[in-house]
Amino acid sequence: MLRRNKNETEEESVELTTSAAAASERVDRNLFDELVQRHHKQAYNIAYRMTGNHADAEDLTQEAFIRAFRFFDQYRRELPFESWLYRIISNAFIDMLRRKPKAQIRSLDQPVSTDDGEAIPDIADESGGPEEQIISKEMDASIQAALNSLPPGFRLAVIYADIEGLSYEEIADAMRCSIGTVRSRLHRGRKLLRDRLKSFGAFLEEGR
Amino acid sequence: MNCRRVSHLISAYIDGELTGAEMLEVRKHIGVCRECAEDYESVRRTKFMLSRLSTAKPRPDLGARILSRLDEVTVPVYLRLWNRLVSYGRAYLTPITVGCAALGIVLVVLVSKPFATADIASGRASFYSEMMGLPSINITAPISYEPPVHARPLVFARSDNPSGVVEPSMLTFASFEAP
Repeated sequence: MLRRNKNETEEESVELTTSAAAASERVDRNLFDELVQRHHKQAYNIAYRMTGNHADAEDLTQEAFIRAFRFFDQYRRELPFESWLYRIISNAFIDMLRRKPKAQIRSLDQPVSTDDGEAIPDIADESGGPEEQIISKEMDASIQAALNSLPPGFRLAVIYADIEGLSYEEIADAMRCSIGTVRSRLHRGRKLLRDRLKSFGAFLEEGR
Repeated sequence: MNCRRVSHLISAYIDGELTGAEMLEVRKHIGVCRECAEDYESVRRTKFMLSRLSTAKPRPDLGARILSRLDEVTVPVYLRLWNRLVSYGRAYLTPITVGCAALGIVLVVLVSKPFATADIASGRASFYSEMMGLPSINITAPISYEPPVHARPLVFARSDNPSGVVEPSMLTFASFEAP
């Protein structure tokens, strides 16, 4: 009788702990699903500017979120999720380049094979009103081609600074390097980009 | 400030990431140097063009596809534990706590190390006592010495040696043993 009781309580407590762990996993998963919904578009935009094409951008976005999920317990909840995501995307991108270096040379105009057949990448369709849309599709393509020609470290720094609008400190955190490195990468990256754009004849002369 | 230096600071100047004094100097230089002013203008436009890029939109089902791929991912228990550990480490192991721990270990090592250690071969006695400014050697334990053929002396160093260097002439033969 006594023994049976003991077994029962043991079973109960085991059940309790496993259900507590399962519950905490469920909470984590729900929280993470919400973060995916909220951030995947932003992540996709960054991934697109890094890789220069939609197929790789999709892969990179998915890979980044899967990594984030595996290491979700390392994320400190009191900090913004974006800055953690930036780090993960940067790492995932560098790993992607290591795996397939051709990711950096695919052209923008090349059709991308999707599930619904081939599609020409769709960009520059921001519905921000006509006065907002200063950059044309051609210009967008030229800038992307110029970005693709930058070495990866320069490209990431420029994307974080000028597209995402991060501070040098935030970029240093995302790329795990010093602020001095960020500074010199931006300096050299922007000058390379400018020279590239000038050689494409795509430099915006009277932009303000 | 010369043009070379200004050219290096232009980007950070545009981003407002210089110190106040540097900002003023760059601004002053751009005001008088036409070449640097053009450089500044072109880099500023490059930044401006990037900021005007449209937002690339994913296919509408990307979010759902990510979620369905997450269903296939199981995080192993060891990884969950490791993640927890790393996250606690990041939260509590600040540089200050790490520094204090390192200092503690150094102190323990220094205190537990005997002060008087002699190394006859190099002639140096007691590195630690010299380092800490303590009076030099005071050796009370017998030091091994290459025994002569006929005798095996026990050797003591003299305690009134101010230099800390032990030379054979300073050694005293305290007793002899029969071979």
